[in-house]
Parts: sequence; structure tokens; C-alpha cells
Amino acid sequence: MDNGSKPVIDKKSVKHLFFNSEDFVVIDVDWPTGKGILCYYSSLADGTEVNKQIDIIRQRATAKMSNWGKTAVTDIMPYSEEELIKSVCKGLTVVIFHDSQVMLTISAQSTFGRAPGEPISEQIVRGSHDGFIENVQQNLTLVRQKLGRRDLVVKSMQVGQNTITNITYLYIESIAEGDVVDLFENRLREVQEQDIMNSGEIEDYLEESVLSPFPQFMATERPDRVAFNLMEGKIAIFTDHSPTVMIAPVTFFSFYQSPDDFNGRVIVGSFFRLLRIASLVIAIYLPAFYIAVVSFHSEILPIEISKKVKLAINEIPYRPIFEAIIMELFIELIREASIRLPKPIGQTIGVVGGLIIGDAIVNAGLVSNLMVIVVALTAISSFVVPTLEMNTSIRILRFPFMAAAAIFGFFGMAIGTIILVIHLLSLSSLKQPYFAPFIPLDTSRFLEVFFRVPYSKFHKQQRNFSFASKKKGRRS
Amino acid sequence: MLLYEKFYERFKPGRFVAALYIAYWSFTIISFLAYINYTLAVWIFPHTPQIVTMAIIVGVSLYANTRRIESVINLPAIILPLFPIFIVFLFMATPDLVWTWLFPIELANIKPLLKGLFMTQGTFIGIELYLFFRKYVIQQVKGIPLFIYQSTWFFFFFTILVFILLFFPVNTIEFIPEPLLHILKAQKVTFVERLDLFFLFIWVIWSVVAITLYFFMCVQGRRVYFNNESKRITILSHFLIIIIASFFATKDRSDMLRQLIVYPHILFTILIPAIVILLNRRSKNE
Amino acid sequence: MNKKMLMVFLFVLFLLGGCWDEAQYKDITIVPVMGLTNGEGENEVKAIFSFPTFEQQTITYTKSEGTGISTRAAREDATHHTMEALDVSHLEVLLLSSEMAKKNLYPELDMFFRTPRNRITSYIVIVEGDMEQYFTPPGAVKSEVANYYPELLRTAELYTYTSVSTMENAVKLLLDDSMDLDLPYMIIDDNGIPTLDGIALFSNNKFTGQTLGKQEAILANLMKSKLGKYTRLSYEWKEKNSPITIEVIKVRRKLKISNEKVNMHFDIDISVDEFPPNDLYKKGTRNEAEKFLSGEIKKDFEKIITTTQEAKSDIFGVGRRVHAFHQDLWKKGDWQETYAALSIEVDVNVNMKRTSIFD
Repeated sequence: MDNGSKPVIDKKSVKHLFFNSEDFVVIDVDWPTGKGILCYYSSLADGTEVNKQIDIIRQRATAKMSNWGKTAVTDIMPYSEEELIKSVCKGLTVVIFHDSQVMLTISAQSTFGRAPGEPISEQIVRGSHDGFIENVQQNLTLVRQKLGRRDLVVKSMQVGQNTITNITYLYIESIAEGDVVDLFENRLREVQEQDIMNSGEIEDYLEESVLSPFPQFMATERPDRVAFNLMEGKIAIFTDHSPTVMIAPVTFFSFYQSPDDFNGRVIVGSFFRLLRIASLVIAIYLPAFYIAVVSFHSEILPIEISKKVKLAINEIPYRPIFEAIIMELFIELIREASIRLPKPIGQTIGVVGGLIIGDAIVNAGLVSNLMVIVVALTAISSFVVPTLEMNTSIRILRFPFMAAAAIFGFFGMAIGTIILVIHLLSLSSLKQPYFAPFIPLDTSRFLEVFFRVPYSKFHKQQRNFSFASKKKGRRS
Repeated sequence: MLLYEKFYERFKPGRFVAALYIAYWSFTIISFLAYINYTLAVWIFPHTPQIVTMAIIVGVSLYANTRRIESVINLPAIILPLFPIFIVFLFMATPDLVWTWLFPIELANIKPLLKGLFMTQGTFIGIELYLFFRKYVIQQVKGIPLFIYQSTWFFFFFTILVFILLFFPVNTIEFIPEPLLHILKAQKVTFVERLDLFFLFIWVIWSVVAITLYFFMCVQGRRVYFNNESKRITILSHFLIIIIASFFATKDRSDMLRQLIVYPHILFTILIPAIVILLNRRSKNE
Repeated sequence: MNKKMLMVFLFVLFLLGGCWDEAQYKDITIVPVMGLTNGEGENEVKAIFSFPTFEQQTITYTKSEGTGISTRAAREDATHHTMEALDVSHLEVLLLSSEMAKKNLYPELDMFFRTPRNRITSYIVIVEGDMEQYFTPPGAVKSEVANYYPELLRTAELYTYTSVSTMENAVKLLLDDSMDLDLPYMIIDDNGIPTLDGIALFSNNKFTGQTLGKQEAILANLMKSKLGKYTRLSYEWKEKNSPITIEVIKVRRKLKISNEKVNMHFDIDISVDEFPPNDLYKKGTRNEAEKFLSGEIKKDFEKIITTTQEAKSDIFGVGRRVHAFHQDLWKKGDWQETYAALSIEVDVNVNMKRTSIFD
């Protein structure tokens, strides 16, 4: 702007700097040390609060306190245009002193966050009902309240060139593995140039295998889940203005645990955990199994059932695989349609789709009623998974299995299973094994996958892939 | 097995021996594949071209071998949950066993007994991998846990053998090539017919894992002893094996391979390790 | 690059290939009951199938028949005039005519064992007379034959009327030299309804033509110590002038074999199901009853042994024990001949363990 040592700063130039935006406020203020220009976005800063703070600071300045500009909510720094833009855009109020070439920043943002209510996607019955909101500071408050310890480290990094997004990450120094944190920081530094708006986008950049159907970061909106995972030595990643927190490194089975388990009774908790694992199996295999049976291995049906099956499918014009795809598509459509609709309409869609069309499609003879049962059961089991992304992954997974079953029957399913297992085995989350504690086999933690063990302790993430026991020659 | 435990530290094969072993493993893969495919064709896929099933099995192995090393090593763990299922199925046959079929035990004639012992070595194909793997497994595992591990295997094979002997009349065993499948087929369970089918697929999973491991050994052998990590050779060798194995997947040829494999097996599990160990010992003493 | 090519190749393989061994369930007719009998010509097999057809959401039952030089050929012949291919993988009952069973049975059954798809746990029954009649019974059978036979045989097995007569068991015994086979025996009774009438005795692998009656069949199973879930026997107790029905709880058999002499000892635990005089609270009556029953059962057992020896049919598996531990006796010659010539003694000891809720 000005090549001189003291650039001219007046109301006009400042206003020009912000493209004369309507909500940008510039006022002259008197100050003991000289004139100042007060500027802020009225849409971001809280005017009354600004006035209060300015009064306080002015008093301090009048009293000639050294460091009069530094308080809990204000700061004083040498003036630079860049800093000015950055601060104002963040919502700070800035007072520029042209004479001394300094500026005072006051953080008096108008906050209108919602109350930390229970997240809709992760409701539980018993336990704390608070959830994260769009304000990072408040979210950190929620976590710190749960874990009152000194070594809970909060760090943050700004990413993006065009958007400024603060990524805040937490870990517990004494528990988290140093190299995992380093690895995470390096990866984050690599993506510093990218414009990232949502937490889901960071996931893309930080994951090892983006194309895998399995999420390698766990997203949650629950402070208790975050606290629990931090205690296991994991890293929690907060993104500005997003209630969703990513947790890494995770294992496959951590997606199957709900905070509810730990609150309930041991036997009840174990039962539900087993139920969830069973639902995983059903969600992936049931349609494939049905297809394999009716198109390859009908001889395995006991005769009483076989007559009913035969009666149901005898006059269906399509192959079972098409039948299944019609039904699956139908269910996915209902789900997708009802998600974004307002609640009352969503319910109507559910009723219309589920009951009326479901009944009609059977009467029309397009799909057998058994297939409707199979697909409905599968859909219900796939919704059992307590975390949302795993839920969607599982739903996707059953399509390849259906195809394999339609081509090779059980053989296709067996081969599919092996491929799935190999894939899970080679997956990693921040270089930590994803399919622990199965691989590497840790028998002591094996039980915890299936049962809710009493007096459960926090476990660290499995460290490496190396084989801990087992595997010697001799097979037949 | 116990001897192996004692000497595994001395087993440091050279390049030539490693090459021999790779050849032997390839041979094992071929005979195994041929046999699996024959069985699959007979039991479930009479119309599917054999090269397709073969390609799928080998494809799985290829996929696994292009992944990280650890995942292949850990693969056998998926077999574990299948064992109890299999054993439970097997024990459903208990009421049908006739214990008197074990008798009379004829011990008078030594010759068939020795021949039998020789042929049963076939069940222990793969034992030589023990020598290669032992040094990677935690060293503390010794003594009783190892003994339990070994005796579990022994018990497992032994149970199967006893079940087969007790289930079929003596004169029918000759023409039943897959007695286990027949035992399971004969079981009457209310929820599902044809237990043999399920076992067949458990077995397919086992075999695929085994083949994957053999391929893995070949690839690793190349890596460790020849410093060769080219993916191209891995892929090529897989293709080659599909072609060779599909040539052998008929009754005659797979039988021939099965009978043949005992000889190199003896050679590679007993003779060569012994020679290598002795040689190493000598060079150490000098 | 290479890897991608391979993936594409595999994927194309998946798309192009596949479905070779598909057997759509809707294109198959399941056959629950099948009958085999001699055809008109020599060495000709005639097969009759009873099966449900599914149309307009209802099940109707029809039958179809075919002839050929073997079972499989007869089945193919029948498929020529059946809408969908006949599939015996759900076969529940196989009826065999008694004439056919008088030859070696195995050739007709080989087909069931050789192809993996077939079910080998279906029941086998020997039927007397014209096979056609069993598929269109002259009497008024309440349900379809395709449902009637399986249920009938399941009940028979449960109540020890017949032994476990699955195809797999039967063939094992057919091929076993040291034990003979017995199969359920069925006749058309006076009302024209197919009825189980005891068991048919086999010697080596042929039907002997001799059978055991209804109560005898139960007793024979008792002697094999192979009981179903319920085993009931009724006797007329003349001295008390009353019937007595017992339920067998448990039976233990002891075989003692010493050169050419066999001693069978039975300990039978029973409970009383029916005894109108109601004086079992007296220890005396109980002892008397035990003694009476022991005697009666022993008499019946001996009669059964005589019948089986006449038929040269070792259905009790004495031969198995002999084969295992008495090689000298076993090697004497054909076991069936040896068995017929053996002297067999029977001891029966009945223990009344329960008297049910009346005394």
C-alpha cells in the first residue's frame, strides 16, 4: 500500500481492505496513547462485550500498567495487515493504533452454540447424554471435564489455503505411543495446503487405504467415547465447527462397542455384544446364503422348509440374484429417501415403502416373500452396528457376496470370506493392525470381542503386526 | 517333531538347498491344487471348467501374497474357529460307530505295517516349514506348551482316523476316497441336510490357506536367499502353476501325484535337513 | 499395472464364467417318495415317483413312472414325461418291492451313493405286493402318500417298531459280512391301507422272504439294544387275568461267546404303563410281575432267534463280536451258515424300576 515506514491507516483504508462489507464496522476510538481504529465484523463479534472489554483495557492503559494490553481475552501485537485480516476473519475485534504501529485484539465473539445435547446418530439408553457441538472450545471442555489429567495434550494446526480450518487433536502424553503421534503429525503436515471443510475430508487424506470399504478412523459425537478411547492411547481429532470427532488408530471391533455395554450388567452387555457380532454375520452373509441355497444347493434344505421355499419361488420370473438386487435397492431407496426428509414425511415413506409396496411386490410375483424376509432381516441387522460408517460399509459389503454366491454358490462365499479376511488383515489404521486382537492373535483379549468382561480395563491399541505366537508348519 | 525342536537353530540352508526347497514346494502346490480341483469337480462343480476354480484359488493366493507379509503369516488364524465346528459335526457321528471294527489288530505281518507308516508320512507334508518358521516364533515357547500344541495336532489326526475306521465296514473303505465327507453326509440334523457340504467348504478354506502359505514360502525363499522381490515373477509363477496343475486334475493323475509326493516329502523333511544340519555342525567345529 | 490387468482379468472371468453348476431350485421337482420294483422284462427296473407340484400357490401331488435297465435309467425315463427334472436329493422314503429285494439289493442303490447331491439318510422299506398300489392305495388314506410314508416311518422309528432304516445304515449292513440287515416290512392291510407289519430279514444281501411280526419286531430291536424313544410291550397275564403293558427304560446286553456257544444275557429296566389290578404296591406282586415278564420275554426272544437262524440272518450283530475276538470261529466258513448252526442261549432279567404314578 504505502512504501513509507509508516503506512497510512485510517478508517477508509481499513474499510477498503475488507471490500466495504456492510457488516464490517470501523469506529474511531480515543485512547490515552493516541487515536485508535476499532474494527470488527458485526456478524461475528458481540458489540456489548466489546464495549465492556474496551472500557477495561482503557482503564488499564490510563493507569499506565505495563503490559496493559494483555489479559485473558485480549492481546497486543505489532501491526501487520496479514494479522489484521486473519484476526478479524476469525471474529476478533481489533483496535489499531496508528501511532505506535500496534494492534490490540479482543476476542469477544458472539457465540450462539447449541446446548451439548445427545447426538442423534449415537443415542444410548444409559450413561451420559451429552454430545459435541460445533464449538471446539466447548467440546474440549467436555473432554477435559471427563479426563482431569495434566498429560492430556491439546494441539492444533491450521490447514487450508483458501479456508482456514483449525484442526485440534488430543492425546494423552503418557499413554499414546510417540511414534503414532509423530506419524499422525507428519501426515497432517503433508495435507496442510489442502482446503478442508469437514472432518470426513481429513479422513481421506490421513487414511492408508481410501478405497477400502472399512473406515479406518472412527467418527463419533460422544465425549464419553472420545475420553474412553483417549485412555486407550488413541488420538482424537477435532475439526472447527463440526461436532464430529475422528478417532485413530482404531480396530475393526471397536466399531462394535457401544458405551452402553459398559454401563449395563455383565451378562446383559455380553448378550448384546454377541448379538451385534451375530448381526454382522447376518448382514453380510444372509442374502448370499439364500441365493446360494436356492440356486445351487437346494438339497441342504430340510424337506418341510423346502416345500415352502419351493412354493414361494416357483413362479418368480427372475433369478434370485436379480430378485435380491431389486429388494436391496428398494430398501436402500427407502432409507436414502427418508433420511433427509422431515420426520413426519419420513415416517410416511417408511410405511408406504415397507408395508404397501413390500406387500404389493410379493403379490405381483416379482419377488418371493422369502426374499422379502431375508432382505428385511439383513437390513435390520445392518442397522444394529453402533457406529454409522461401519453400518454403511457393512451394507455395501453384502453386494459382492451376493454376486459371488450367485456365480459359485457356497464356494464363492468361502472364497469371498478369505479375500475379506486377507483384506482386513492387511488393513491398518495409522500403521496399527486393524483386525486386532484376532491378528496378531491375543487370546487374553479375545474374549472381550464377544463378551463384556467385568472389571474391564483400558487396553492399548495392538502395536505391530508381528506374529506373537502360533504358526509353525504342520497342517494337513 | 521333537528332533526338529532341538536342531532348528542349526538349520541354515544355503542357496542351493533353498532352490531345491522352492522346487519341492512348487511341486507340492501342484499336487495339492490338482487334488483339490479334482475333489471340487466331483463334489460340487461337475460342469465348471476346472481352470476357473483353479484360477480363483490361485488368485486368492496371489492377492494375499501381494499384500503385506504379516497378513499371510497370520492367515492360518482364521482356520482356528473352524476347528471346533468341524469337531462338533464329527462327534455327531458317535452313535454310529462300531467299536468292534477296530479288531482284530493284525500285528503279525511287518511289511504292510511299514508300508502304512511310510504312506502316513503324507499327512505330515509341510512339517519342514517348521524348520523355517521356528526361529521367528517367540523363543520362550518351549517345553510343555509346545508339547500341548504338538499333541493337539496328533490327537486331531488320530480322532479322525479312529472315526473313519469305526464308521465304515472294513471292506468298504477301499472304494470311499473321502471317508470324512461321507461320515458327515450320513448325519441327520434337523436344521440342515448335507453337513458334508459345509465341511467341504471348511476344507476348501483350509486348502486355500495352505496353498497361499506355500506360495508365500516360495516368494519368501526367493526374497531371503536370492534377494529377488520382483512381483512379475510372482505373478508369472502363479500363472504357470495354474496351467500345470490343470493338466493334473483328473483321477489318474492326481492319484499319481499323491502317491509320488511321499518320496520327495521324506527326502525334504528328513534327509536334507539332516544333511544341512550335519554340514553346518561340521563347519562350526572346524 | 500388471496387478490391475490381473484384477480386470479376474473380474472378466467372474462375469463370463460362473453359473455352470447352477441348479435353480425352481426348475427342480423334489421327490419325497420313490418306489422301485422289477419291470416286465428281465433285469428291468421300474421306478415310481410321487411328488408335489406347485402351481397357483397351491401344492398338488402327482406321480410319474419310468422303466430302464437300472435305477438311474428308470429315473431318466420318468423325467421324459415329467414337467421339471426329478430330483431325489430330498428323497425321504424309498419303497422296494420284496421281489426285487430277493436279489442282491446294492446295485439298485448304488446311484444314491455315487452322486454327491443325493440324500442318503432317507428310509428304505420293503413292500409286499404290487408297487402301484402303494402309490394309489385302494383304501382311504387320510393324507397324500408323499406325506404319509415319511411320517409313518418317523413314528415307527420313534416307537421302536422298526430299527433305524436309513439308506446309509442299510447299505453299511449290506456290505458288512458280520451283521445282517433288517428293514421295515410293509403290506396293504384288509382295509387297503399301507401298514407296517414288522421287519423283513436279510441274509447276506438278499431278502429271505421271512419276516418278524409287529411285536416281534419290537422285541428284536430290544435284542439289538437299539431302542427308539418309546418302547412299549403288552402281555396278557393269565394268572392275574389282566393285561400288562410295560415301557422299556433301558436294556443292557451281554454277549458271551465260547466255541460254538453263544450266551445272550439281557438286563431290562422297565416301567409299568398299564396294569388294571393296581396292586403293584405289594412287593410280592412286583416280584411276580418281574418273573412273569422275564419268562415271557425270554420265550419270545428264543422264538425270534429260531426264526432268524432259520432265515440265516444275524441281525443282532453276533458276528461282529466273533469277527473281532474269535477268529477261529469266524474263519469256519460263511458266517451266515455258522450263525444258523450256533446254539444260542438267552437269559432275561427284568427289573421293574418304576410303576408310574399309580402303584
